[in-house]
Amino acid sequence: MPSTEPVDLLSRITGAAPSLLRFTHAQPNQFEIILQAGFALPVERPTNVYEFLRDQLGVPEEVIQQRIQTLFLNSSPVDNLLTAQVRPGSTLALSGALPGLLGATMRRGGYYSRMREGISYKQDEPLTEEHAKPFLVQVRLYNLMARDLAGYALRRGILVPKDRLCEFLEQQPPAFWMQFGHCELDEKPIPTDAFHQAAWEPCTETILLLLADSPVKE
Amino acid sequence: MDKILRIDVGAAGGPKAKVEPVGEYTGLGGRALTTSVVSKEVPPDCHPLGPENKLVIAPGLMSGSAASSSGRLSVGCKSPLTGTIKEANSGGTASQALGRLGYAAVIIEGERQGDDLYMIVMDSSGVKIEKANDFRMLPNYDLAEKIKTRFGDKVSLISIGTAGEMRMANSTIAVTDVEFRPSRHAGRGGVGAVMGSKGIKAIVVNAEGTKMRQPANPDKFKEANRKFVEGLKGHAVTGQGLPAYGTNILTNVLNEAGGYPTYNFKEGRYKHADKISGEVQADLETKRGGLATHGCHRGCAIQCSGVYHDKDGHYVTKQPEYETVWAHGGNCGICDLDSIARLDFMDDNYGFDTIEMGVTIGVAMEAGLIKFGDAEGAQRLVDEAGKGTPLGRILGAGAAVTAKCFGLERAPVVKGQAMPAYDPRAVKGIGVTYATTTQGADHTAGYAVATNILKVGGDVDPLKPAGQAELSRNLQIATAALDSTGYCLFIAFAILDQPETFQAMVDSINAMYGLELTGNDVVELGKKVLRMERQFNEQAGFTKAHDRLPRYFSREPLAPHNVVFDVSDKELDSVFNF
Ligand code: SF4
Repeated sequence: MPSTEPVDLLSRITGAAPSLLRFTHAQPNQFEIILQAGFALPVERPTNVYEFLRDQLGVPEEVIQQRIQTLFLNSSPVDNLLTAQVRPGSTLALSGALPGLLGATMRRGGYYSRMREGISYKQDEPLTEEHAKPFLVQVRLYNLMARDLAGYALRRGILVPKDRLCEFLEQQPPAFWMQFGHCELDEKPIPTDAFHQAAWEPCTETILLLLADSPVKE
Repeated sequence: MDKILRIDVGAAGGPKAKVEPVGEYTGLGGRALTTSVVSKEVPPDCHPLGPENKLVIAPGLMSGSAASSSGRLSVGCKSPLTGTIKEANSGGTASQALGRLGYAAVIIEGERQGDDLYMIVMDSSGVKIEKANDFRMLPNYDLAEKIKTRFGDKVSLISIGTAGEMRMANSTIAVTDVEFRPSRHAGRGGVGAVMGSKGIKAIVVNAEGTKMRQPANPDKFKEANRKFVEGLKGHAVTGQGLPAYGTNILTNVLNEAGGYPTYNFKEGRYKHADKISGEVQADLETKRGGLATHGCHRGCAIQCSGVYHDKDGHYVTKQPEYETVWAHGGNCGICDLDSIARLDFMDDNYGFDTIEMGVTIGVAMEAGLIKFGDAEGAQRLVDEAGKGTPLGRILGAGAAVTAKCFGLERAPVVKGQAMPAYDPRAVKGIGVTYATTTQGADHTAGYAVATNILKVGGDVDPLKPAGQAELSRNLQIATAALDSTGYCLFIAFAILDQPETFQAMVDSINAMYGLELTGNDVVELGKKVLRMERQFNEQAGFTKAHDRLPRYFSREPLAPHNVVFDVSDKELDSVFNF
């Protein structure tokens, strides 16, 4: 996917592009804490959860089938990924397998799913043509999913509030910064010590965080 | 484990120890044993703090052997909090030590004479009982320090804090962990008060010089245990999720589901849950030099626990459990992990159940005693309870009593015991379990999830949805059986998903005892335990009318799903149709 695509998409949704922070990092799973708190992803058009994960996030099928054990769409546990629809206003949360009765109860298509049937996902109203336009979906990646899917989400580009990103970066230990490679803010190189010294100033209230596979600019 | 130690606290001249063969209780362990003794030997209509009640401490069947994750200890009695029969379960090192010394149970009975406090010391040479008045009103951590100077830190300590000594209905029995910290607790139902009523402050269990219990069939046992550990390590929950995040992995997910009770069960979602999640907790523990992966006893292959340090790298407490982080955190509107960890330490030190105390503080907040979110106020209240001030006595009596004293309807309790961290309106099946369990509102009574392999409900057609009552019944039966083995309930997921791991567990038990148990026998054991407990409760005066949630759960919708608890009384009454 060309790296400018999320920026273009965002411009189409919000009318203005956010500050873009592009970076390399050897261990994207160290962004776990920010991923569990939630972020927004731009999406071309409504789609079912399965296609969203596969096509928008780029998650391989076996990871979807085996690792993503528990899903919530707008707070409702989802059993069937093909019928649940990601649409404007949706919040999607993903979790790995969880312990205890609660884990068994929330699990996708699990034996105990009946125990939470009052809150289970039920089919939405059918979509109309009017919905077929780009929108933002809120995503939260919990526990092992934050670690497993960090690379996919960050490569896709995630939108996070500036305050939360600053707080996260300020708290990172040296081990995190050692994995941090080249970085640029709105196409201007920025040294990593600027982050932990809080000496950087993004221009917008939300930042598009985009993981690059190789240095962006030398 | 062929002997029982009885301590008669009413004997002339002070408590007397008598060791007797295990006799009619042969082949039982853990909850099966505590329930059998309480059912047979305690009059159901007695006062829990009276001389007729008994405190039964029993290692699980596999404790003291090399079986992985099998060091759970059961504590049984008639509960001062609920008035029902009680089994409270703890980790820590004592269960293994008792098993290695060959004790199937320690039973403390009789009528305390005078006001002296006593300590029981058990080792391979026998049992000694001595006065322990110097320990009076010592909190658990201070007590452990004193015990350490005399016995070292390789022994196990079972003790009560100030709450147990004051015979508070919310009081625990503490068990030391591998670092000799009194951080593991038989928490629920006020079992500490029963120990306090017998005048026993501490039990030191010294298994030095003993060997691990040997299986009847060593080769089979070794192979079965190897497969069992392989199964635990290979499963995503027991091999990855729990070791990485502990039980607090549930915070984000429950909150997402809108079933995370917040502000004394007023709402189903807490806006700051992401600040107290298992992910953040594990990250903080690692950064501060604590541990995000740690076992509550040696030989646990899962290691769901951890060690929590303050920002200067000093020990605060063991990794607070999901229920604790919820009870003191989200339920009280407190989103600071350091404050929650401090409250966890205070509970462990004074000897309070964290669920009961957190819910009690939530009730006190709703009553206006302090504000929701007031972390310092919450610590002050726990301090009052631990010191036994007049207000503290009310708080130490639990959530139901506190609500009554402050004139509130909204006490989230069943049979006098506070509900744990899952709102029964959002997850109704858990509500059925809260309502009907023999223990009062209790989540662990539905924790084991191996029911489909055990075929608890017969050969259930997986395509036919079972009713809430049927599912809850099956879970309660399976849990009662598993609670008797000494295996930690957290093995449940691996044995649910992996039939070969379940088989390896049954094979380990069979190889240990030279038995040929089948899944059916395990189910029968679970049913037998539940029948005994139900019968005890009926004779103690409990009826169907007690198997209900407080009415406001059927009346007040829970946001964000706006659901109420609407499982019919008829369905609730059918849970025990077996
Ligand atoms: S899984 Fe956790 S609670 Fe269970 S025995 Fe291991 S450390 Fe203790």
